[in-house]
Amino acid sequence: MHLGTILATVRSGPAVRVLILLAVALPATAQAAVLAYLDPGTGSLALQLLVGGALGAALTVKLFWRRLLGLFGRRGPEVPRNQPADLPTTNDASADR
Amino acid sequence: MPAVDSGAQRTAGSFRDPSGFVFTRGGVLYRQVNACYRADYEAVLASGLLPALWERGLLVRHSEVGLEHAADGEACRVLQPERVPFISHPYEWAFSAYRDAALATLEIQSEALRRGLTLKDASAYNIQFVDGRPVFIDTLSFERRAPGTPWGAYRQFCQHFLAPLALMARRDIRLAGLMCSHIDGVPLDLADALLGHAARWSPRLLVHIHLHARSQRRHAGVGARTRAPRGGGPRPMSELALLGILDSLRGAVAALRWQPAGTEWADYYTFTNYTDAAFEAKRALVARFLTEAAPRQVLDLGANDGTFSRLASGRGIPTVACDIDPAAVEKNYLRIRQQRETNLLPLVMDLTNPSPALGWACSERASLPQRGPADVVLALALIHHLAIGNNVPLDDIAAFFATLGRRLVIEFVPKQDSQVQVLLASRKDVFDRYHAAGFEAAFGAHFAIREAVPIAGTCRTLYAMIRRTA
Repeated sequence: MHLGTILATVRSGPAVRVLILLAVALPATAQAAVLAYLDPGTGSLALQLLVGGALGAALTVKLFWRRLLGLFGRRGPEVPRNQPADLPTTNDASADR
Repeated sequence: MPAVDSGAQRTAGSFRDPSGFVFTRGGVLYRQVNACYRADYEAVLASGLLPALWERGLLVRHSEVGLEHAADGEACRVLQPERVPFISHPYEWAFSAYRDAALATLEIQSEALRRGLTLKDASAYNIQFVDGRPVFIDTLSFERRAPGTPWGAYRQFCQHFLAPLALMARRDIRLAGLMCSHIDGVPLDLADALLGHAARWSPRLLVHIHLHARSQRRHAGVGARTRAPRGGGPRPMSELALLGILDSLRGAVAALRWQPAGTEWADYYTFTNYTDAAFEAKRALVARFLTEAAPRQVLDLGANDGTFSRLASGRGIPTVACDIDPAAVEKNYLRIRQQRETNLLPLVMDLTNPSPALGWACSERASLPQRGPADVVLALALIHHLAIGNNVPLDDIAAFFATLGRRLVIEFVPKQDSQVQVLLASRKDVFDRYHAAGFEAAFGAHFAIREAVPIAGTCRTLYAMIRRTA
């Protein structure tokens, strides 16, 4: 198990602490790697079932926190929409051409 | 599959989904809805999803036409979608364009979930750019979501969007090319291996790339050996869990940034061979040629940051601005987005190795020439990079350009030009035919040269040509 896995999980709090268990519980084998090309879909569905609860809970906390901040007149960070607002300014440069 | 009506020509990339397909007849684009998709499509109509997405500019608009337009007997409805001016591929997009396409896909899935629907695929090829905005083009990608089911397109989203974006942002922008070599997106085990620690240190990449790849290996073959539980029992996946996954993916994509620096042309813009007067003279000439040609579409090759492309797009002409440098294309895209410019599409394109035909039977994704020809091709300050920088004979350049456009506005840059001198400094001058007469002879074989105007204040000449073959 990677140090990064542990640190990232600890820093991220209980919502993703379950990931430590996942990292341990998902050993890779050469045979599995071959089968993964035939059937990558089952693992994708399984992962969603495993992490969905934690990520749903994280979203609930995030929305609750945003609402709480709203009560005190502060707005939480907006979820980026189709057109993110964080536009760096560009120079009106001309080129060789 | 029933025979397709002789007048209908099925679009090559439109075969994976049995729900329907896209075809053209008499130059008109249609999308057939097959009877097997009827129940889902009626649910989509009843949900109000389509007008909601149209309202937000996220979905290509269509009108419904009569069944007499159907391509075969499988049809239950026929749609006539608005045409996208130019079909582009993910490996050609600016980084921020790709990122916006990913966020748009997630937004569309959120909107669908709110209405009890879901996206059944999340292919990056389902997004196209119209007036600088990502637009979803596959109207038949929605289906009713069975309560408790995970997102079937989660894997495809990660392979088509998250993995390439993470590789471009966290490793190297040139890894966008992996989308060119992998028709169904970057395999997650490959992305994981290339990302290395970058996929472990970010909690979201850890889940959606690293653990996702491991889960794929862990469960490989399980689907064939076991059966999913049917009916009854607790629902395995709540809508909240699904929204949590979507929010996490949105956060993962939004956190990926790329700052152009140190790429080929990033610092090139400040070095110009033109005085202001010469630049204006060239600008006026190109503008005059465009006005005279009155093109319906323009392809600008070596467009840089799109300064000259805007002479066309600013006149309301749909214009594609290609450049080899991802930094130049990124700057162009950001400017379009910031100024809300229309009719301009910047794409990353290496003209010495243009986008090939890809996919099944080499026909799913069209090559650059297959998407043409344009009415006008601009090739300004480009010829020396191809002829001297890449040793392409002038005859071959002329022949290739003749496949790309009907008219050509091209700048000849002679050897005495300082930019050419830089190119020649590090290579032997084996370019005996590289002079104005050689250029005119080579291009004259494919084009009728209408005008050759020296650009005041420079040693360069601007040519306006018309292709000899229709």
